[in-house]
Amino acid sequence: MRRNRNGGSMDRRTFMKLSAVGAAGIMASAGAETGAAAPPSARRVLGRTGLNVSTIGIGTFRTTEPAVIRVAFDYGVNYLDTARNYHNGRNEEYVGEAIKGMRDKVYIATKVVLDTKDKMMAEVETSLAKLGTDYVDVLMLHHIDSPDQVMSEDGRGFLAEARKQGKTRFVGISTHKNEVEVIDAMLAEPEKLFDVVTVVYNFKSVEPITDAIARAVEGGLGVVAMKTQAGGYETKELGDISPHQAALKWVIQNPNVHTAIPSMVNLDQIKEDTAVMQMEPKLSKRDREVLERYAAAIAPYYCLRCGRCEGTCPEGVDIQTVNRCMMYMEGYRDPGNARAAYAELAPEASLAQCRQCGVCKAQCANGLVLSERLARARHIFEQA
Amino acid sequence: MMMTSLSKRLRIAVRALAWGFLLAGCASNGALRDVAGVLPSPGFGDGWAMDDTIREYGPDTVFDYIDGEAELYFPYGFETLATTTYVHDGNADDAVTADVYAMGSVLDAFGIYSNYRYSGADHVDVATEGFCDGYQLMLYQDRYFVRLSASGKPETNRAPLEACAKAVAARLPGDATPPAELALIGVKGLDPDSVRYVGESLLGYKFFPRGLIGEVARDGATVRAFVVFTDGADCLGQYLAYLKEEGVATSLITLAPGDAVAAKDPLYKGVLVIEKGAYVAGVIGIEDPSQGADSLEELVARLGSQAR
Repeated sequence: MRRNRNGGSMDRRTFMKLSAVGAAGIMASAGAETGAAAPPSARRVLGRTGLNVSTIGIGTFRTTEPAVIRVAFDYGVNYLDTARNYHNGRNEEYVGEAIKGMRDKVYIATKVVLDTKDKMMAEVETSLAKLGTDYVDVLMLHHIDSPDQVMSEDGRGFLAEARKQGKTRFVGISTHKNEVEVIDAMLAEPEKLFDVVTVVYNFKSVEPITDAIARAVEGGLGVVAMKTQAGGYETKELGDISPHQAALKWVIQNPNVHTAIPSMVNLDQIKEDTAVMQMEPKLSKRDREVLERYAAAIAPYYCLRCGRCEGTCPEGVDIQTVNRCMMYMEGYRDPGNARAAYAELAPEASLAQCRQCGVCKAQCANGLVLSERLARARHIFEQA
Repeated sequence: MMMTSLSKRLRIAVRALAWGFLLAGCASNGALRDVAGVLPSPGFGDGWAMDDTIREYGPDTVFDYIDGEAELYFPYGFETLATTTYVHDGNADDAVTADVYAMGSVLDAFGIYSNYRYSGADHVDVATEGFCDGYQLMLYQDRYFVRLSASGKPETNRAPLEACAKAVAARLPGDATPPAELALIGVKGLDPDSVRYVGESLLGYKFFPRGLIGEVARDGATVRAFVVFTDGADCLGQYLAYLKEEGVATSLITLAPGDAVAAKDPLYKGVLVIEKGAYVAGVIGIEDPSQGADSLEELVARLGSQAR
């Protein structure tokens, strides 16, 4: 049983009856793009596309059961994000199965990896065949991480041609790295080709990303947020509390985000995530507490490489570079490169200078526990 | 209650993180699993040479390489990915990219492999099992899943993909024995290519934490057989509670191994399901209980012969 905001419980059927975003609601709002009578945070217009999308969409890449995707429709989801290469193409088959009989009721976004124009045109044909449709709503270049890739002749030519041929209604880009530069390049594209950007955005995101998203919306782009749960790490410190709803609320409280696409693989996750559409898009005190605890719990693991620690160690240790070396060591499992990168540090910026202050005087703006991190690095690079 | 209990995806991710830190600790002791060593160096076959450094990714960086698809790997105990590219006679347009994933167990390696395999796949006699679709060749053995991608056309890709696969397979540890668990689901009429090991939420139900599922053709119809690994949880009890919550009536059907529950699943039509030791076995997508009875009895017999 799920519970509504007033503490009452609701099963799926009751939910669908009461909610304007139940199956019938979808049929009315997606096809006609009205979204009438939807809860306050249930629908937003996806930029210049005019598509009236559910604020919670679904990233289907982990979902292997079409029936589960259809349940997401029942709960008001009308935007699905898949990709040509997910599950070696099988994910598009699952989505295709899920949308049978509902093609005009839901919006489909898929992505192809940047290649030659001809190869990408062949890829999109395969996508359409797997999806069982003759068009998608949004076709994106997958995993674009530089302005050069944004401006690629092949990429832009492909998207323009696919749209001209009616293979897609709108076009865009998904980006996981250098998002700010990518978004700005999309906005600077002279033909105003792009309609949608799918971007990593969550409560750990830094301000420049939020600003870039605002510029994207100002420039008419639709904004789709992915990796909205910041990794979804379990934290014993949180006890029996899930941070997912709070994390999603954090994302969609930004009105410049039009839809968030968490992955959902079971009914519990669908219920939990889609319930956010019934809530005010505003963090409660409780949400903030949960996110603060969640952020604190995962803080020891992540360096956002924002550079704000630069110069904060009174002994001159180059903390950002040390963190990068640790990323090579622990993240990439590449001791060779880690040690090589560390060896490039000037002696006066190395951990040999660290005085092992009881409380590290250098501070990480993002909550990384530097004293522990540096102690570990010291053990690896200076003592091992 | 606004917040629900911690979801499986969190537990999975943390397990991955824990592995990451464990491996990091190993790395500092020089005991890191040599995933990169599985990649043939300096090359393979006739004129294929490594044209790139070997890059390695762990649970917190694998997104950089395979984007959101990375999350698909976490329920299967993903540890490390090593990747490189080979080119033919120095021609960068003629390339094979080799990705080697170290997973949690041989069952996990099969699990991720089975996510990509499809019915009627063109099998290649390499490692424990492999298949090729003209652009990619995938295989698994021991705890390793290998994905090879070629840049050319299907008619010319096959030979280098197979040569690379054989070179990689020769460097994989272990033998070619498939996971013992696969025997649990080998009922009559099963399409072996349809069998998948699902590492989380079998059938999209959180209360079915993991298990095997496959398509079974019997009497002109195709249904799905499944085996849930309960890991000590009351999976059947939770399923029955879910059916009750959805207003689904259930009945008991007497089969040779005991009473099975028959119902109309809200997502998958008819279902016949039974608990046996550490498993829940079922047949789903059936029109009526009789359609699944034979398969379920066979499943239960197989479970009975497998001690866990």
